[in-house]
Parts: sequence; C-alpha cells; structure tokens
Amino acid sequence: MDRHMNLILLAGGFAAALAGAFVFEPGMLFLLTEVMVVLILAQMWNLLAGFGGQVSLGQQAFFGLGGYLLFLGANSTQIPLWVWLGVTPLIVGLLAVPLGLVVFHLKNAYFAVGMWVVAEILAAVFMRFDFLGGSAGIVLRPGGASMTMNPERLVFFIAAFGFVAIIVALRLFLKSTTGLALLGMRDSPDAASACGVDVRRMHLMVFVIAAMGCAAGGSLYYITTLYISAADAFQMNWLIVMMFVSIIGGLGTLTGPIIGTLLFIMIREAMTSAGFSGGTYWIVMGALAVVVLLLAPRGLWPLIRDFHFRKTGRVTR
Amino acid sequence: MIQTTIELLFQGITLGGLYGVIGAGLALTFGILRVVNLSHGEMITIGAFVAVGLVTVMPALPIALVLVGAFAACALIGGLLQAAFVERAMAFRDPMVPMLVTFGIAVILRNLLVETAGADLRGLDVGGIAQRSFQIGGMSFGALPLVTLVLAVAVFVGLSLLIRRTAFGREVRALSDRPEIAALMGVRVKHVYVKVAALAAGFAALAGVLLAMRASVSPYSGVSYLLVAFEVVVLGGLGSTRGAFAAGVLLGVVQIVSSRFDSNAGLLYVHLTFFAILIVRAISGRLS
Repeated sequence: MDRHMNLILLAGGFAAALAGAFVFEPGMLFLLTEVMVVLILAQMWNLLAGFGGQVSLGQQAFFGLGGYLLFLGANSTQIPLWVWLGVTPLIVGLLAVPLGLVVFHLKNAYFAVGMWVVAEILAAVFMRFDFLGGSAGIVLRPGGASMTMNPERLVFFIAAFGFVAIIVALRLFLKSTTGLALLGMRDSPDAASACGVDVRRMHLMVFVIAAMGCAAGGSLYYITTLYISAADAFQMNWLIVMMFVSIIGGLGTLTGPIIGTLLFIMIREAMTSAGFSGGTYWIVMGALAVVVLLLAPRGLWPLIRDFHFRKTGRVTR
Repeated sequence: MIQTTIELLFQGITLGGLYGVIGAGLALTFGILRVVNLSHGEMITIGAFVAVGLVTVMPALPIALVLVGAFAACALIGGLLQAAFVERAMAFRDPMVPMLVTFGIAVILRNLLVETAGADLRGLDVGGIAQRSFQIGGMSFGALPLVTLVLAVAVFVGLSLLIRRTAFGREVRALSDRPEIAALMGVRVKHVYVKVAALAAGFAALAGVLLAMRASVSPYSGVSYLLVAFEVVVLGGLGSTRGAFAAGVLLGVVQIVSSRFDSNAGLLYVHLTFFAILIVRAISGRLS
C-alpha cells in the first residue's frame, strides 16, 4: 500500500511538475518556484528541528552558500549551469561535515544561536571580498556569457519534482531503521543511545542533509532571479520563513510544513494586493507564530488531525 | 605609535564595557529564567529609539534623564512581555518553545519599529558631551566614552551587589540553583521572573542609548547586538559578571582594532574571534 502510494506520488509529481512548467506564464512560474523553494526549505528545517531535535537559527547560511557557489562556479568555468546545480549541494554537504563537528559542541539554544553567528560570518565574508561579489553582488553569466535562455520553466520543473522526491525520500527514510532511530533519539536521546544509536553520527547526518537541501533551495531560487547579493542571500528572513512555516503548520510532521507554506504564501499575496507593507506582513506572521506556539505548540496540522480522528475515528497522516 | 595604541585600547574597552552590559542582561535571563531571550537585541534598539524620541521632543533633557527614561520604558516592555507571553511558554517542557516565542516577539517588535519609526539609520545627538574631550600626555580621550565606561562599571557593580547583598538577590540566587525548593520556601517565582526580565531589558536599553551615541542605530541593529550579547555570554560563562565584562572588553577591542585596519568589515572579525575561540575550546574539550 505504502509503496504504491510513493510511486503514485512520484509519478503524479512528475506529471504535475511537467504540466505546470508548460502551462503557466513566467510570472506565475516565478511565484510557484518560490513556493517550491520555501516548501523544500521548510521540510529541511523540519527534518533538522522537528525530526532531529536540533533547532538552528542559521540555515540561511546554507541557502546563501548554495546560491553563491552556483553563481561563482558557473560564471568562472565552462561547466554547464545545470551540472553546477547538481554539484553545489554536494559541495555544501561536504562543507557542513567539519562545521557540524565544531558547532555540535554547542548544545540546544547555544547551538541555535551559534549557527546564526556562522551565517553572519558568511554574509560578512561575501560582502567584504570583491572576488566573492562584494557588496555589489553577482549577476549570473554562465561561462562568462549572458544567459541565453529563460530558465524559469526548467527551474520550476526541477524544484517541483525535487520537492515531491524529497517528500517520498523522507517517507521512506522515516520508515527505515535509521529513521526510527532518529525519532527515538529526538524523543529520548539517552534511551536511544542506550539502545545502540550513535547520536552524534545521526545528528551529523541530519545536519548535512538539511544543509544540502537548503543549498539546493538557494541555487534554484537565485537561478530565477539571475542576481545574488550577500544582503539578500544570507538574510534572516529566509530562516524566519522556514521556521515560522514549520512551527505554524506542525513540526515533526511531513504535512505540517506544507500547510504552513500555503498559509504563508496566501497571507502574503493577500496582504500585498490589499496594499499592506512588508513590515505589517511580518508582524502578522510573527503574531501567528507566537499564538500557535502558546496555544498549540505542536502546530495546526496535528490539531486538524486530532479533530478529524475524534469526528470519524479514523487516523489520517 | 604607543599613543595610538592606548587610544585604540581605550575605545575598545569602553565599547567592550557596553558589550559586557548587553551580555550581562542576556546571561541574567538565561541563568535564572533558563530562557535564551532572542528579543534582547530589540530591547537595545527600542531603548535607543526611546532616547531619540525623548531628545527630539525635549532637546534640553540631561543625558542622565534620557537614560532613566529609556531604562524605564524598556523595563516596562520587558516585564510585560515576560508576564504576558514568555511565562506561558515556559510552562512547556521543551525549552525551545520559550526561545522560539521570544524570536517571534523579536520579529514583531522589529517590524513594529520599522512601521512606526522608519527603517533609516538615526544618530542620537545629546549636545555638548559628545564633542567634549580631555588630554592626558598628548593623548585625547572623549568624555562620552568615559561616561560609557563609568556607567558600564556601575551596572556591573550594582548588579553584583543586587544579586549578592539584597533580599531580592537571595531569591534570585535560590531560584537559579533550586527553583522547586525556592518556590516551596515561599519565593514568588513569577514575580521574580518578571522583575529579572524587566531588569535585563532595562540594562539593554541603557546600552542601546550609549551605543546610539557612539554610532547610529536602525531598527535592524538589534540583530547584530543580540549576537554580540550571545557571544559575550558564551565566552564569559553563565552567571559570571566578571567573565561577561572580560569577554565584552575582548570583543570591543577586537572590533575597534579591526575597524582601524579594515574599515568596512563590520562585525566580521568579532564573529571570527568568537568562532576561533569556540573551535579551540571544541578541540581542547573545554566545552561540552
């Protein structure tokens, strides 16, 4: 049953991504690509915090790094852009290993804010050095020439199908022995450790996967904008989005962050078209996150699920 | 050469004193409430903006009263936020919930400030004192940095006395060591928490006013100050006011010296210093 479900998801995702890439006009594709990127980012933060139990306030570091490595790599070599798109997350994943070994010495809240410092260091470095773009940023010119194609259709397809693939991979992972070990570790590190789970290795694995996912999100997003700057790529708002979306939707569930993302985009588009400023919008999102944390700290989706269960007696996932 | 060095060190130490003060506030809430208060940076900017507002309305107001006003305003805000939101969040078993709540509050406060005061950088002009300076042995020292240093030392000494010598301080220490037993002994836990949060916010406001006099301030400054405060706490150790002061001075000196040689690096070298010490501690196993 479950294997069929995964195959259906993959096939449906592929078809929908392909159809969407051909049907929608560029402006819509740009928005939808952003939605897909936010979905990927939220799922990665959720994996790290909700399933792995590590709250990080510095995931924008990997997002920005993903964008920058893609731009720097594609601009200065003849290796095609789309190859770099695949290679960038791998490089960021490799970089995350030594970083994780250092920051894991910080526990809980210290780890969270320590990662934030890492993101600030990266922002300052990319802002400071001209060969990394400096304060002016970088325009995407693969192989030194201007972009000859409009990338939004291909990018949307990759982002949308990539997101579905990530969901399927996470479903399989959480069913596996390693996934169960991860959940056990989140609920009780000591008990899991006593059962033979290598807590440190698991933490590092989740940390690296989340870094790779955020990097992929950064690469995809900045191909569509064709321009990257440190002030934008490493900004707090990326973290705030992935965090609020996961918290509001429901940490530690796969459906929660999706619901959170849909709410986030709908509220934003509604408020923008009603003429509210960006600041007002963030106030609303902040208030929503605080209210959810205080009244339903597990998020909205577990609330809906429980309500459904009480009404019908059937378990939904 | 020696004169320049001494002048740089003096500037670094005065800035570091302020960093120590903002770190001490963060350490106070973390040590006693067990909450990493991520809205601490916003208290710093709000304190500065209250001062800007006061000076705009009443240009003749003496700096001491400006400081008192900013302290009172932020202590009120900090205490109210603790009573209304953070206290509730602390009821959850997961210590990450209150931290995330303060993060949400920080986002709200920052954007409220942007909406009401605008996103521009603002300076705080308190008249004569900013320009006044005095000469010792051919070296010039500003009067403002000196006031800053005196205030920082006063905050540290005052905090130390408050914690060690008063009845309130005894309750705070008891709560920090054994919260359950302190509660059994009749310490009114929530009242103490609100007072501690108010005190920390007030300290942040004092530092904010003085930071705004040195440089300028925008609603987005809070984030960098929060990170500096956090670095002070990690380097200086929890519950050690002397450690916080020393760590603040180290970071302040690093910032002043590095900006002399590399003027547009911002807080890069401060963060790098922190991270380098972290790596050393991680390797030597002093941190776990």
